[in-house]
Amino acid sequence: MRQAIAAAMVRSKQTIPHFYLSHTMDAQPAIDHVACLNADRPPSKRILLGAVFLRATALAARDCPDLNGHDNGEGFVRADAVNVGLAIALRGGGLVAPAVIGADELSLAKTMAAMRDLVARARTSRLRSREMTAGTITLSSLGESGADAMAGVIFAPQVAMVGLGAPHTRPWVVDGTVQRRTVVTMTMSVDHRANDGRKASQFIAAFETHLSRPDTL
Amino acid sequence: MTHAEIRAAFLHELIGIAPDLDPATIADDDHLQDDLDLDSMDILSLVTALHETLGVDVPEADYPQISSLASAIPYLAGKMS
Repeated sequence: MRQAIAAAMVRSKQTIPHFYLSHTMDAQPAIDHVACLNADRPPSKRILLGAVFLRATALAARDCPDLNGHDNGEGFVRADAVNVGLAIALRGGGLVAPAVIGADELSLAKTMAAMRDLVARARTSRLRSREMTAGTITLSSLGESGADAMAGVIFAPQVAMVGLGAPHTRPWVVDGTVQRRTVVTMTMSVDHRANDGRKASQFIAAFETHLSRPDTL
Repeated sequence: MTHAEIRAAFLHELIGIAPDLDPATIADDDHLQDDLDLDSMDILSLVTALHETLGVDVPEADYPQISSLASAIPYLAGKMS
């Protein structure tokens, strides 16, 4: 497993000219929305903040198709679907990034169900080969605790990776006043052959807009 | 259920989620996330399993109460009594 990851990462870093854009944004509306949804739900129906992040990624990818697709060796080709690869840490070490197929078409509840299913099967080595190759963009999140930010390595032949640091509580200016908010830092890793900073910046803005309106996800 | 039975049920579900853990080496004060490397999806899976097997619905605000065996057993016993 470690050797396969090493080979893929070396290939990616040696062949893809990465550049990175970071932006810290208010995650409090999304966190409050999830808490509100979960208050009346049994555990089997609860939503994780990670599902909101995946949904926002899928919608931003649909909004910004120049970051959603593959480099076929001759140049970038937009994908017809939005299949968000989800980086999943395996117990005992290693990572896999199977895709949530058609993620832009799923409700938040269905996104959460798809994540539960992928994580369960990733942990028991029952992922399908198509899921391992169908990703059109990848989301990697540090989870509930840890570093503020993460700049990931693009999963070739994709051209963009969304890295999310752990949410942290910070003083934050909202409507002209300083408030206690939980914020998250998003870092886009982008293939400079396929895109420039303007397109990546548009993706980040789209993600932030979707995250700020969690009731529409 | 006795505390010993709740402990056994909790460990059974924990091992179901993290099969690489050895129940004999899990200390009562091991933190599920900091020491045993469970993530938020694992915690939700554990809470879901405890709801199904013990009938205890742990609300999100109480997740810190089940973050170790030492705190989870009295918490679950209290909810079941």
